[in-house]
Amino acid sequence: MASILEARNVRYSYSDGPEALRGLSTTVEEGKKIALVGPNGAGKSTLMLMFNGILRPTSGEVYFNGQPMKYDSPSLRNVRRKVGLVFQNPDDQLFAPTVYQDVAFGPVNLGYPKDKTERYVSYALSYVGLSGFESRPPHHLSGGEKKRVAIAGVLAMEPDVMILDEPTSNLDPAGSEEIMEMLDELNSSGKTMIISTHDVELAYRWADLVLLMEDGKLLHYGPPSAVFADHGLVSKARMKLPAVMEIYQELKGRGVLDGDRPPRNILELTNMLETRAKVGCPKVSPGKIYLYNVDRADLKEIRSFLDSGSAKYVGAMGTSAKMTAEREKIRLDFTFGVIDKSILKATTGQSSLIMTSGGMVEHAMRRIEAYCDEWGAKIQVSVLNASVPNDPEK
Amino acid sequence: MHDLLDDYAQTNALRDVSPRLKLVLGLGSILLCVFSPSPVAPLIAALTMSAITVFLAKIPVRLYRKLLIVPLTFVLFSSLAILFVTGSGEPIIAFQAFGLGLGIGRDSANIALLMLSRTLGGTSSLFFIALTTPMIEIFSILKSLRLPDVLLELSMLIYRYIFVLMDQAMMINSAQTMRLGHASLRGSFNSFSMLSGVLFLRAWEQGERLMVAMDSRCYDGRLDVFERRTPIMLHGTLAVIGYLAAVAAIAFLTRDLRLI
Amino acid sequence: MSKLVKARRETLPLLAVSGAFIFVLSSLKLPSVSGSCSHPTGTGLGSILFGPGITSVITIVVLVYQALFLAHGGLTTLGANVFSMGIAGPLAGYVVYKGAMKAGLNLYFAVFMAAALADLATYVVTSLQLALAFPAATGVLTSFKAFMAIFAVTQIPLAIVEGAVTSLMFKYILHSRSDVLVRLNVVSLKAVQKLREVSA
Repeated sequence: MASILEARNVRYSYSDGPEALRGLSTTVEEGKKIALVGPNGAGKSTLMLMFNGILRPTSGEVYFNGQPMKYDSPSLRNVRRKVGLVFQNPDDQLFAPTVYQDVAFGPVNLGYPKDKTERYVSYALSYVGLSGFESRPPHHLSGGEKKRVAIAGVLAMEPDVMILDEPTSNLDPAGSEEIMEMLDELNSSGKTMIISTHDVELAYRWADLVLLMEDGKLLHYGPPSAVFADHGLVSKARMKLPAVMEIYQELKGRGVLDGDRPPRNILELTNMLETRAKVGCPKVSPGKIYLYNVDRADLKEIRSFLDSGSAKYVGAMGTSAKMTAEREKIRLDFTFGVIDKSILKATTGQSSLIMTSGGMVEHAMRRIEAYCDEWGAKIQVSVLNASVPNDPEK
Repeated sequence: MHDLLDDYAQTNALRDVSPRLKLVLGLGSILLCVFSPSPVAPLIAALTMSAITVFLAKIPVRLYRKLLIVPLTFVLFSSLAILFVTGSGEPIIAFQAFGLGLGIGRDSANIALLMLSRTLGGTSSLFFIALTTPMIEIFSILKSLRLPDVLLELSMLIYRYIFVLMDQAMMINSAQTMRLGHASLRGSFNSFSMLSGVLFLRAWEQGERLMVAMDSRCYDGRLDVFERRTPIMLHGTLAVIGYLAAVAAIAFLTRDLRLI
Repeated sequence: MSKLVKARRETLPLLAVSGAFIFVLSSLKLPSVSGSCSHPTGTGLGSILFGPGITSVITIVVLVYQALFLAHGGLTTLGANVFSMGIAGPLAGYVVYKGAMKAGLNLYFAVFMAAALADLATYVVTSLQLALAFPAATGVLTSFKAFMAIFAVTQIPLAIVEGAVTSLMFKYILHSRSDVLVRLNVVSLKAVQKLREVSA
């Protein structure tokens, strides 16, 4: 895959402090989910600001799409349009008096005409599930809503890369799951996602690649299972092991589990333990997973499906699916971690329905398929409304 | 949290009435109050505007009463000053105090009364605007009135950061009160200075981050205004015109009337 | 204003937060001496930090917000307030501050005088405006004196409080982030070092 962002031996120091980055080199491949993990003052935010062209390295170079980044204003405009940055504190980012004006800020400054601006704003707001919030002033929004508006403001510029500084800070657990799921959804539509976080649990299960930083330098860059397997590096970066990893290593040390591949999440850990425990026991026949694309919704169909009782559990992934469920008064059992929970239910012989939209249908199928390959499970997946043609994109 | 009138304006019962119409009504009534030569029209305006604010816009009476107290005390003192200071016209009351001959002349009584009524009328009209028309809608009107863009942008950014800094000021204040920072006069001097100092630095840092935030989203000197399409209702427009005309007529008819 | 336009890319955000700051400051209650409730004007502080020109622009915007958000003053008195609080106050503050600094007075004392006199100047001009609007039978001067007498009783203690608070606040800013003041050209780097030495 092509590298979309690259830092080559970059150094940076703020005028009033020691060096924030001390010769860091790294490559971000297109379409990946990357988590920057490290203690306070490791240089995560500095690196993020550098990727957006806000900070210019004192030495070394940043490459965007294979080209060295230039710092004249037309080039910067281009970079900033393509690489969207969401700040940690939404109050720093939301400066306009209304939600509409804030989301429209990027498009207006890109010189879009009024109708195009309006279209992009309403698309971005509906994507984050805040249609109808246009006239609200930011100080009348909750923390999670502010975060969504901040994301919408960046989304309205149609970036290829989205960088989010601590996307889940100050959010309640359900709120952060929803944000992370939205980031998954954006990633499955082809955008490269980069987040910074202190939350090792989050980085461990969400990211494709983890970039462990400490004191302005790169400690380790690789898949989460590799990065978090290294106890020494992790504690050097003042982080701790994700709980799943810690339990796995503990059990492995006691000889309860073996193998080289640590589990990524509760689901995988449960499976490992179950396979160990149930050797010789008769297996239950797995349940089914039904997928339903709300973009092609014929809602009568889903009603009759639900009434038939084929699925014991219902989950919704993504904003438009959740909104559809709310509109149709469908009671949801899962609102986050939906695929994993459905697989977990399927392995215990129960069936579930996942409502979702757009590219997330394929994403879910791939995810379940990958699971089956790995664990030798046979979960049947069917898309309820596969035959209806997809709506044209916006 | 913050007791700013804008919060009430966001939720008042006249929120969906065209902001232009409300502005015309409020400003028109202010102008009539200022130019009315007798106190009758301003007093009528004060009564009607208060009634509209309380009954039609459904602003809590308690809040409205609290709001009125501040300008009311101020204007009462000023009228008293005028009453004694300008002392012209045939005296209606005269007395000796502190070895000085003090008196209230008929003319100054009339001037004081006129000022009192104008201020009342003007204030209640202003309260009508402040309590029924959210700032964000006034911005789009200002834009269409060709207010310079810089000034408009400055105002919109100030608007946003007023709320951010207000919250911070409250938080710092609670943190100080919690640790008895306002227990003594000396303490509260220190606390107040520290609060304003911290607030200034926070504002400054906020400004630096705001610069980055605007830059990172391709700021090119353009900040759009938000326009909510509220249809101008015919009967509403007619009612406003009728009302203003009636007050103007009263002001004209009572031009020579003196109450005292 | 046109200078403002040219430089606005850098200055607009900072001006905006400063405006918000002055608004919030002026909405806070000063520690009360006499039991009365009063608010600082913030114009002296503004003109020390940003100069009288910018302070005037900011103050005008802030005055409108005060009228609409806090019900301070009214739109009818806005014109008068713009002159007294938006122009006379900052100008007086600026002149006093620069003069006191030239005369080599202590920085904190200069700040105190500037803030207190800016506050007083605002009320002197207000009295003058009132006197012009409501002249006494014996002339404008008589009514000016009368209005001044009324304001002097209430405003002199307030001006002293505002001066004291502003000067303490300066001390605080100087201790924690003197670089901001240096950047705004309020104090020179040398002066900061000297003050640091004294307090150390």
